[in-house]
Amino acid sequence: MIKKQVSNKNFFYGWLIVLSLFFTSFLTIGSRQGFGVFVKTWEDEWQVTTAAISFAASVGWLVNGFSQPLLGRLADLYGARFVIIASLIIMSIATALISQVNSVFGLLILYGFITAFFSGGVSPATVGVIVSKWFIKKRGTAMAIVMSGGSIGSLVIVPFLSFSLLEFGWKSSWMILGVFSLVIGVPLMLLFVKNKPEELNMLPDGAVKSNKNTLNEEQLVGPYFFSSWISSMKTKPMWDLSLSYFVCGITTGSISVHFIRWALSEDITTGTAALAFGLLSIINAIGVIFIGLLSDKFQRKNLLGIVYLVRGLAFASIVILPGNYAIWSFAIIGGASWLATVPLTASLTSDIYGLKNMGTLFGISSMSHQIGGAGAVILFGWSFTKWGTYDYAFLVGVITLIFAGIISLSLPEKSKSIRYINNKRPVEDAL
Amino acid sequence: MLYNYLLHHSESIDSELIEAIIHKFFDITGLSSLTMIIILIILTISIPLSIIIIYFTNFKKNY
Repeated sequence: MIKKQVSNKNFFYGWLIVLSLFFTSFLTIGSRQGFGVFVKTWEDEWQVTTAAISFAASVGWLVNGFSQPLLGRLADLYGARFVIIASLIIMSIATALISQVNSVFGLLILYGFITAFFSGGVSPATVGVIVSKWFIKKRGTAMAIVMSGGSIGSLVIVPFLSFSLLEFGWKSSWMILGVFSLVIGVPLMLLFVKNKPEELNMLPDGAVKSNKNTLNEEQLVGPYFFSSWISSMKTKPMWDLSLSYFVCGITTGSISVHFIRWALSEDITTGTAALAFGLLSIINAIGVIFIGLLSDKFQRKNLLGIVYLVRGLAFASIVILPGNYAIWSFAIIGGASWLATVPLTASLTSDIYGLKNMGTLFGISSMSHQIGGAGAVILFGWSFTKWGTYDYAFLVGVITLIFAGIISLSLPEKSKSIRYINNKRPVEDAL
Repeated sequence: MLYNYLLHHSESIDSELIEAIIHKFFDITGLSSLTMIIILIILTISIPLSIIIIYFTNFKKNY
């Protein structure tokens, strides 16, 4: 559709790509989170336990984690656009086919394996590759807008599925979602998303080509821009980023699963928990964009460290404050830091290691995130069963978050990031 | 009893939580589920529609 040079003085084409990827995140994360809406319906219809249905989701969590470095690698080798579109097509078809499932086994195959695996192809590991190629100066903001799509998607798609379940039943709800994704999401990607600005004879951030000082990402080479991703694994920042992201997984995974049980253990009603969760989601969507904007002005490692420490404060408030105060303080303080780690970690990965292996490297960090989440869910559950309180588990959350904050703050951004390598100036000065 | 610890283990929303959210929503707004479906579909479709409008208003000459 778009073959000629596409240019406009007022509006950079990259933002159109950001909006398209925002919509893809909106659809995929929203539909992944919507699974929980149907648990009780399936329990009644198939006469199975919650644990049996949750097992499909548990498998999905880990499959998604392991798929991200693999699909990220494919994105590095063959272009992220191809991986995202192919994954979206397969995910959409599998989502529609869930409507035909009659057992937990079918759910395990379609949701636990197929959609979970290919949602790794529409994850920050692949989406981040395209965003990083289109943006250098505004990378943090662009990445944050795309990620906020998932947060806003969960605010729209999850209620949509809930109302649709009441009105049309679960089979139609999955069919509508799958068809919608296939008919609207896929064409949008095909029409508007391009791998890199050079395909449209453009430069990152909409820079003007005639400017002699203009550089693109391929011309900017950082000290850790290795040709092999294995070499990157031998450097400390890669481990620091993955370790802190592991902690991110521990703290978000545990809350997504144990939030309600903790609220009930504190005599908080589900209605109050629902309102607090809604507030957390709204603050989360606003918070991620705000942090993205800040990350284009300040050192990203400092913001990442602060985000982890703020989340640590939110976890500490759960332990220290009485139940009803704790839930609101957690919603406000935790909400501001919930998703902000994603654009910051993705941007730092591309700033320090370049774009050649970005999909693989951020995929590895994402895998550690999912492993951390899965482990924490089990350990938090074990802790609650043993001591009858979540306090000890949340304290572990506080300690790991302080650890993540410190290692993030110690990242050598000024000496290793392309934002600062040109005479220690941010890269925007070179453009 | 590892299996027990995997209860509710997913990145999806908690089923009790979403039930409470929807219940609360009906209490506050009084809107029917069909009305909400229509509103949410309009909201969802408005995103790709905006992208297409932005494309045609900003880049139409090159199309």
